[in-house]
Amino acid sequence: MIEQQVPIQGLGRSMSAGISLGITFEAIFSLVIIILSLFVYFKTKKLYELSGHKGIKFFRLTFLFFGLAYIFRLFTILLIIYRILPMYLFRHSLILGLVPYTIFSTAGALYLTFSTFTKNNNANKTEILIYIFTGLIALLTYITKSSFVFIISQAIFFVSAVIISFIKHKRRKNKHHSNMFIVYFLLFLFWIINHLIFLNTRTMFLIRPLTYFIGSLIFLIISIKVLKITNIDRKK
Amino acid sequence: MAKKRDRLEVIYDILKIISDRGNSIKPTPLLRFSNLSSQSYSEYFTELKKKDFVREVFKDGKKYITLSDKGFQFLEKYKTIIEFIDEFEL
Repeated sequence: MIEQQVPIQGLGRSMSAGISLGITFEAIFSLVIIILSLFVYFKTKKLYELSGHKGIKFFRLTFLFFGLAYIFRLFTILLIIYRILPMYLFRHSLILGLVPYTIFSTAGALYLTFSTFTKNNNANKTEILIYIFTGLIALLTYITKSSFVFIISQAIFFVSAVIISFIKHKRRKNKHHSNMFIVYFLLFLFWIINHLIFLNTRTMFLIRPLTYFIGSLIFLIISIKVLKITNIDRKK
Repeated sequence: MAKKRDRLEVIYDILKIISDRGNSIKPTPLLRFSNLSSQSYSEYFTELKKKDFVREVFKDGKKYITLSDKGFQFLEKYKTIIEFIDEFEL
């Protein structure tokens, strides 16, 4: 992969190789998240078909949209690696990758937030709200050409999900402790840092592999929890 | 005072009643055993028929309610569904 790289003009060989390695890590990391997200989405299909539970629906859609966001992230990365388009088309292609990434990320974060309190809301109205918010945030991000609105909105949604999850955890009357609010909190931290890294190329390269590793771990924990619960029937 | 059952619990109870009675029960006893008002029962029953969890069969001119394969699947997966909802705090 490094040998096939088009050298970046004005940089030394080792720095160019370093950037190439970083982009390779990005691509691998994106692929891992896509696979794990879509795994969660498809593995919970039967549970939703049988129960029709809104919370399960929103949970599934969270991971579907996360997976889609990372597909477009990977698309953007591949566009950077393989500069096969002329520059005037290249810039538009980046937008074609980044705009859906923004939209799907926001939708995923909103679905996660609303999945934590589905009992108190009307599912159809909630979904309309989600799509309106998603469109607004994507539009504002595109118009301002700044990731500020995008990152702040994601932070608000995730913090809400963590707080609601924590309150539900404290109010729980049965003895089972799932501690999902900790997982959601870690997911929130990872998601925000991850956006900052992706949208700000000046981020230190040392932070990137660590963030990717932790992010993959969080998605892996969630996938394993899903697998463990859904495979219980088979063991019986 | 008994705790109010949620939607999934009610569906499970109705399907369990049918299953426990040899997968064949008349509508009136089902209403009685389900411990629901006739309006609530009607709404739930309509939903169960729409989702193909139950079927109505006629034997000797009398109507009976039976579970479909999907209804049996729901009974099997009910604990998994509840555990999933609990685990992910949905």
